Amino acid sequence: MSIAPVEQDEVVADLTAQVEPPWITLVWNDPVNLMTYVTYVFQTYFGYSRDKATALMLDVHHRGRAVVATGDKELMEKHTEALQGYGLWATFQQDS
Amino acid sequence: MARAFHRTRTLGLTPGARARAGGVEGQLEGPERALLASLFEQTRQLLESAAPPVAPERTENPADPDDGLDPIEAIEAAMISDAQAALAGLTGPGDDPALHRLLPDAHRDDPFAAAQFRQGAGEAVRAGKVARIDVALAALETADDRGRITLPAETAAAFLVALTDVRLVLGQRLGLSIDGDVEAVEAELANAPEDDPRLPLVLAYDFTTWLQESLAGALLP
Repeated sequence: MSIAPVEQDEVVADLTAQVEPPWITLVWNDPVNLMTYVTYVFQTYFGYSRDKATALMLDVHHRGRAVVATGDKELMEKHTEALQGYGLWATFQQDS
Repeated sequence: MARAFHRTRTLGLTPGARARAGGVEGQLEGPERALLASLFEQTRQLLESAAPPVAPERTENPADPDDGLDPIEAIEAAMISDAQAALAGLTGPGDDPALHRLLPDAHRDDPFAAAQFRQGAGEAVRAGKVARIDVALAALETADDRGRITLPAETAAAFLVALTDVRLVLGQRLGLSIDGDVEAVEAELANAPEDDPRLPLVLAYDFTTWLQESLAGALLP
């Protein structure tokens, strides 16, 4: 028998149904861009610390891609434009 | 991502002037500057080939009664021009795969959204790349008679990003698509005949990789 209150489950379900999934900006791994350079871009464009930028760069490198930003569609388009300007393989989409 | 080549040669841009407002200084020999200028020029031409078509009927004086275009025809011409622009966005920047790497689809699963991006933000991406290449070409011209170049921080950043675009084109020409391909191509070319057309490409790729690694390292905040 479940100890979760039934009413609370319903409230949570209603709330999630109303929230649109956020948009995300992705950076995909490629064999040309240098690790130092990708770290430089994440530090310079997003203003991240060296450690955070390096961790994100390694995420792209090892997993093949990484979500580098989450937010509304216009902002994700702006990030994609900027990162493509830097030569990174950036795309944006609605999170699913 | 590729790992940089480690070389002991001391040439290229070094972080000597880092203390001076984030700028960099270094030395590039004449043939190296000529190679870089040629690579920048070729990348620039590639990007220019993807420029959106100019619609001349819109730049003419619309009030001129002698231009032979009545208002309905003008609207039709504008609609055709818009349709051509939309189709250009849909088919991408051209047949050259290097252009597709410089200006990739911004949506992987939605060609219409990708086309929409191309016409707006994507064109800004393209124009920005051309502008940075112009900055880099001008920077090469500032070398003194010993090849020394001093770049303010903003110019150095533009140079670094322009160099990325050159390397993306070279990487595509060498058929690099996954990590490890560089090493495979280099191993293959170690025993290739001297007239293998990929040899100058891989030399240019190695040189620009080394230069970019040193420049990116110097510019890291």
